[in-house]
Amino acid sequence: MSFSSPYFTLPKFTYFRPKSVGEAVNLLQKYGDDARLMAGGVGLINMLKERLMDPKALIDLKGIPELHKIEYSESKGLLVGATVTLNEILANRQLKKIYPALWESISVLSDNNLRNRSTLVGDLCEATPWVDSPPSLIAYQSSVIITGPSGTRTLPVESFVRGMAQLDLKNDELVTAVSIPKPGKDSRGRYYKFAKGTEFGLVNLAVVASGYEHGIPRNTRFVYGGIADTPVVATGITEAFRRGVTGDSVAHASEIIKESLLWVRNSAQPLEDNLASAEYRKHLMEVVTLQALREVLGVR
Amino acid sequence: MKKITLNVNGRRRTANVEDNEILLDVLRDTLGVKSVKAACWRGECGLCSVLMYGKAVKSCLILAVEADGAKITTVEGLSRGESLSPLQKSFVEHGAMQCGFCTPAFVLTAHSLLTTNPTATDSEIKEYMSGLICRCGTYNQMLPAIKEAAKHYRKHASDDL
Repeated sequence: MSFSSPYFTLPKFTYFRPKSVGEAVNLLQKYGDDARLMAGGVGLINMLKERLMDPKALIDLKGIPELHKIEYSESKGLLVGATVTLNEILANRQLKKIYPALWESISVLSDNNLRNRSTLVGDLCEATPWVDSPPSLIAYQSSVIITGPSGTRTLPVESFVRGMAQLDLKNDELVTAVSIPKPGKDSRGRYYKFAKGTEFGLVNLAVVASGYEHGIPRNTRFVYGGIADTPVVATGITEAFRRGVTGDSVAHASEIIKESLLWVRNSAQPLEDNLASAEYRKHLMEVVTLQALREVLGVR
Repeated sequence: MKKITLNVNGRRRTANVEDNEILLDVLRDTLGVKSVKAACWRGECGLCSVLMYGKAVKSCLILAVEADGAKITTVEGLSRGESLSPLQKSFVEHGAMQCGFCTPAFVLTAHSLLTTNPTATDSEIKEYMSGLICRCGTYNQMLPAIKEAAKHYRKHASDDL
């Protein structure tokens, strides 16, 4: 390009396209912090253009066949390889029924033409507060599968994402897949994204509920995104649902709603940035939480 | 420098590229395919969209070396010589453009939608096209243009279009 702005160019790097995970790990060992992994490249190339990173080696994982697998089984749940694109996940309508919260969070993520390149693992590894998939991955109790020189380890997504753009991942390791267990019986799931005038959710909420007794789910996970450096699991709401079902279920449901909203009011400490104040985010949290509670409890 | 080979609209094209070159720039500057537009360079406006193996992607966020061996379709690939495809004709007939800068990307993306879902509803079309921006605001002409053309996609296999 004949423009002078750095935004129209990329910094210099060497492009590698390994054919196996082992080959990729060897490259990571050789280049250490000077290496960057690429799957879809959507986030990465933008960050390179912004000069937020300056790698010597760019390792494209798309040449590794085993990372491009998406598999579902009743016993193991869903396994999504590192280079499976978001649209490849959405193309499977069966997954919409089994993992509605995940499916919805992906369908509102960027747009069709980007979803043809972006990957689920890439979205997760970007680890910015507003990325859509981590809250629902955590709500489904998913794990990442990590391979390094000493072998393979598995880690829950909630401990994998450590902070803003920080992962529990050494510079010679790579995430090969994310594993999403099959949710419990009668499971319901929803994803709420409150984004106005911006693609970034001010408040995101993934909800998965299962184990219904008399219309009340015993196991629920409410996981917020966009409100802190990492997704926030609403432990207080899980607790409110877990207390034994007593008396009539209508009264019980309203008790759960009261307790859950009280937890949001007293415990939530959303971040403040140029998109929204903390006070406004807290208000939005209460609004989406109430919507979600009514949905999983089936009340109006 | 690496030598890459692309299949652009059925023609074999080769280019010598640096590892850090963007596909958009190689298509426009090295291969001279100027229908692929450069506007935001960051994946937001969608005007650099091309079909890669039939799927609409934004070429400003793809490295040229990544695309080595790929089958790329640009808007020229939809017409047969001077004869426009039904979708292109429909855009013209509905006046679905003003300055025309975004038109190639919209036509290509609509083509990829209609080949996979020729019965797309209004909301499905809007959602599918939401990654593209038309600064002239001709969305209300594009929607009927796409719906009209959808009839042809329902009648024929996409290869005949």
